[in-house]
Amino acid sequence: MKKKEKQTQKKPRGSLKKEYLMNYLGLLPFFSLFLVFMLYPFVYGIAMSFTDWSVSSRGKVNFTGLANYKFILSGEGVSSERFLTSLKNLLIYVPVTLLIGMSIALMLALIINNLGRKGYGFFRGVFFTPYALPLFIGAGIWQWFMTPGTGRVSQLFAKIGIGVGVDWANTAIYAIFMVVLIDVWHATGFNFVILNAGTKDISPDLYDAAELDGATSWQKMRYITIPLLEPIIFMVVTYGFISALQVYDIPYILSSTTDANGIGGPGQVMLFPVMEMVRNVYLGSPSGLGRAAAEGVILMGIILLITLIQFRFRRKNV
Amino acid sequence: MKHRNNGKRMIALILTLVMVCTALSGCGKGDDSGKKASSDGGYDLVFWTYSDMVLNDQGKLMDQWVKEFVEENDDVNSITVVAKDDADLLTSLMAGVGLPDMFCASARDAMSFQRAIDLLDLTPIYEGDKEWADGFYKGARAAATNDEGKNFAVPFMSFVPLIFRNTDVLEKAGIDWKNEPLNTWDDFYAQCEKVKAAGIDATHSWSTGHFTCPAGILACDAPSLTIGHENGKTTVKPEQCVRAFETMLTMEKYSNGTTYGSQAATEAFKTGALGFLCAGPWTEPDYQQAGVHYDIQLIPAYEKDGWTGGCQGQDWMYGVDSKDAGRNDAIRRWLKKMGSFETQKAFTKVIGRSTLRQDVMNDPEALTLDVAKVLSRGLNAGMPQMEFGHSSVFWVSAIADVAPRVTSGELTPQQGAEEFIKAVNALYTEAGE
Repeated sequence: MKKKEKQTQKKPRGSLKKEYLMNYLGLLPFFSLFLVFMLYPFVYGIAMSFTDWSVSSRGKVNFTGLANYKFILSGEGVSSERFLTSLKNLLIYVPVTLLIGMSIALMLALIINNLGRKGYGFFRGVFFTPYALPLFIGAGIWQWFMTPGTGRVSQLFAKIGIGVGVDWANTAIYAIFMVVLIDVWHATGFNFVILNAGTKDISPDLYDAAELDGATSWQKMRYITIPLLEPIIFMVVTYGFISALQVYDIPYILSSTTDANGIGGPGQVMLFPVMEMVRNVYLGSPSGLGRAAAEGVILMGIILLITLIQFRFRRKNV
Repeated sequence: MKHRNNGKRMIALILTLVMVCTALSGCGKGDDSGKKASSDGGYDLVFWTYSDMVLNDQGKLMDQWVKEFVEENDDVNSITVVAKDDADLLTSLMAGVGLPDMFCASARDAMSFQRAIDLLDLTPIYEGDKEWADGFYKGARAAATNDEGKNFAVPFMSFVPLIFRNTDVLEKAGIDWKNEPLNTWDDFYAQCEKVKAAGIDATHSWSTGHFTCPAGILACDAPSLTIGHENGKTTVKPEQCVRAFETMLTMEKYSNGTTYGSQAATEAFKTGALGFLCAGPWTEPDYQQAGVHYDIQLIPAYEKDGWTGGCQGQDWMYGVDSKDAGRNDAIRRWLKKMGSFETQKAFTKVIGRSTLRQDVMNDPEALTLDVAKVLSRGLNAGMPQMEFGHSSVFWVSAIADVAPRVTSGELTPQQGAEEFIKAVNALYTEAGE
């Protein structure tokens, strides 16, 4: 170690600079892409949200201050009503999908953890398969499952009195739950794999010691597994929140139509903020692109706020 | 170790160079790149169109037209036909970068295209050949003319939604389908009752999922609808729409819960589990390939020989101003060919799709296929989906939000009509028209 330190100290400045230059060159590809495809569009989008940018702007935009934000949050006008409806849908969708998804993933991780290697490998493959499937295929399959009257899953629900005679994809609340169902089916495998990997890191000695002290399975889970898994659970929940707030693909596939006004289904039953942003882009209305950018900034603000609250909450309780 | 580090640095350096070169290759003058004539003076044109226009018989026709055009025009080396679906066409065109020379797209987006793209002024081809210009339906030609009197598109094809009847199902239900067309809504209700009585689902929902069916029903009242807009509001009155909502309510009795355009409805029709399917004419090849026995009807009228329904969609061909006079001239010639009597007659005769040339659709020689005959009748009734070329408001689409509320019982037909007009007015306000 001392010899190595001596050697490091002895390196002349010039050669260190040369070494750093090569390192920075190696990082250049990432930073170039980050700058061009992430940072620049990010800053540009925020800037454009304060203008009357539209498809007819042709590069000439006028600064309008907070006009786009006031319009979107006013509740007057079709775009504003739709955006506020999308936020209301989000209020239902996010907590429900996270609660159900995380609970199932955690439960599966804890159960499967106790299986032998073969059993674990088999179930891991089974649960991860929906995540590996392209989403448009998954959504298409679920459209069949939920077809009123003939869909297998909708029939099962009807047998227990849920959604009898209801067209799930076109009825308020039911449409959101259909999106929740598909999202949980799709994402649970991914969350399960992450949580399960976390359980593997817990030393078996702790469980042995608890066993010697006469702890029950529930006590082991409550006092050993969950606390030690907390950092992983926190990461999965945070990531889950960010993903859920940006939900787009599943409801867009389910309500897909050539008509921009049809995005989100009749009565905007499964309309979410990102979809409304897309509608504003395609509609070509005055200030349409500026409004879409403003909606994006508002959504970003919501995501940042929730993430900050989560980190704050965690810091207090750790 | 030193060799390994040097190797890693070399890889990193190569990757950096590749990234930089890739980024630089994307730079340039944007739209102007490749727009000039090649060294031999010929142009290589790019034409974007719907994906089904490059497949099967349509694809063969398109290849033939391209070949003919290149042979007839010495200054054109080639035309590359690029297939895009609806959403892809709109996104790519609105992006405004890497535009083609000409494209075929929905007339619904004509206003957006006019705002976002430098469309080529096609007035010279209209004024240069009166016979060619007068062959189009007057309404279509007027729609493709802007407020300054300039022609910016060539009307190409159109459609109305059709009702496909599974004739095996009708026979099981005891309907003599060859002699019992759907002339009126009463005929339709009666046949739905018979199919239902035979234990088979009659039809899908005519109110949920999409605007096509409810708007198609509204179009049956087109002669009494005062279509237009003034001072940011529609001139259509609620009382003019009540009957349409009453019809939707009646049709819901025969619905199996599936929606227009859904895979479930289509598969049920193909497997003989559904008697009547509302669909666009472009779906016909699917049923032919599935071996379904079917016939085609229009959305019926309320009275015998009355006004049939269905909202007409239109697809036009547009040119993009390349700023190069020679290239623009070649683009105009291509668009003139696509709008010609011969081209559109071949399209109707071979494919069965209706075009926007009235002289073609009135020519019995062009109407050899059943679907073409039905579409020809349909184009003389119904109503356009919107004020093509003069408004960006897709006003009939507002019915898609209201119709399910009427059929679910939340609103009466009268209330539904009022809500519909309110929703249409909101769309005009949003568009600033």
